[in-house]
Amino acid sequence: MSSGRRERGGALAALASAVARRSIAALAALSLVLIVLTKADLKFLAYLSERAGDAVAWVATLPAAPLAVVRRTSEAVGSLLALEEENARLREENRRLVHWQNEAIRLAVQNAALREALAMPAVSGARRRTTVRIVADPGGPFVQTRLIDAGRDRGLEKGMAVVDAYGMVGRIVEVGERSARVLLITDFNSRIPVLVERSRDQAILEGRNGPLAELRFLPMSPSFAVGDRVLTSGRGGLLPPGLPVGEIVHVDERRVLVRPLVDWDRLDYVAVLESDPVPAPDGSLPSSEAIPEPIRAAERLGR
Amino acid sequence: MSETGLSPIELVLRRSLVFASALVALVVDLLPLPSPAPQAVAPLVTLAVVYHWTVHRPDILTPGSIFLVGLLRDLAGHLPLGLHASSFLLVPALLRRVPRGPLQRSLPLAWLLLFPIVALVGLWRWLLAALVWLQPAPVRPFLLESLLSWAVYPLVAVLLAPVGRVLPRAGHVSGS
Repeated sequence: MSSGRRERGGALAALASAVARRSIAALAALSLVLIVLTKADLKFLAYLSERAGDAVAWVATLPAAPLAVVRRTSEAVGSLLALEEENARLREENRRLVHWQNEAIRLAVQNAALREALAMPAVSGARRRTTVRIVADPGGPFVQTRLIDAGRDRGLEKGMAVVDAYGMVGRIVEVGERSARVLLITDFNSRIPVLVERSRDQAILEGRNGPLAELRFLPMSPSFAVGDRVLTSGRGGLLPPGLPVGEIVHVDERRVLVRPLVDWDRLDYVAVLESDPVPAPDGSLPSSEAIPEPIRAAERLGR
Repeated sequence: MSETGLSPIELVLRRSLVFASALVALVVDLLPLPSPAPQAVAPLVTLAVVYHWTVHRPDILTPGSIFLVGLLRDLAGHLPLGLHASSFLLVPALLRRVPRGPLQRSLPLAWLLLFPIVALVGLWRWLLAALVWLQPAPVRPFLLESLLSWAVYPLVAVLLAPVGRVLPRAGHVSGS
């Protein structure tokens, strides 16, 4: 009797094992077929992905409070460990900031005077900003994207630039009802028109899925150097010109590498810039919002 | 009532804890948590959870469930469907001929065996990335992700141990 049960049990185990083996093979094959199919950018899958983005944004906002505690604790521990070094760095940064603040105000006044002399229209540089929160980091090592907690409900559209206090973060590539996906400037698929601030050399900044991005399609005899700042050129009209992007950190025969100014590990709140520029209220001086950007960018460059 | 003394609904609810834990891990993977590695490379906690249940309760976390978890991860990440599904399915495929008994009894042994598994899964993910983007992907993010996924496993195992204790007894454990 008991040996009969054992035999039945053994047969069932063998059957379960065979089914599991076949199902793994079948599901793995199905996965590969799906990978090929979904590379075709099907509309249905884009719709599914948008809905999934909305769901993830909703779920990811639930643990926002405990997450903020984890983040603050982790930053506090890090700060305590490097308190003395941090103090010295902040003093140095403060000194440099005051210098840049004075310089920015002087340049703003000079710029306004020159524009008036040339009878050119004032460029405000100010675009309507929507402050949003990054709620998910869904790409892993495959893609460098972030999910933000605003979508069509707050007027966001594909192509809009996303910035933080230091510079350009990326641009919106997918918009759901209550969420949007931002492609970071370091992603493989990111290409943005830029120029080198000092030499005015135009180029395309390409992501490499790593901490650095690469300048491509450079002019024949570029004249930039390590340490030069890279800004958006505004070519194509999609991105506003003059957004700080990064700093050239490596130049050789084969490639020019740029380190973005954004601090990826502390990316929490960001601003989405609307595509259409908003006229400055008085049309004379750059808006108060526009002045801090070079200052903050300078702060990052000084690190 | 079943032989375990639980009602059928309670049995289903308790078994669903395994899939629910994989979903929680999936959400954790999506959160922008502070990471010890630069460039927001974080451990793939879902992989550690899939490994844990494949070792301890393969009768509950079946290949079909693993495939579903992978698909959800791909959808949430706006990635080609199948990238994570195929990666996660490597775990039961690699563990198919491995006796589960010693792994279930010894956390250090389970942790040790996870190392070659995360290495192979990382290699597979890197190859897939190269195929999908049609250019060689940087190795470092995949390497870091694999190492962090391996490092996080003891914590995952400790957190999942109480869940394992409330699960109904296994009928059959393949490979054990």
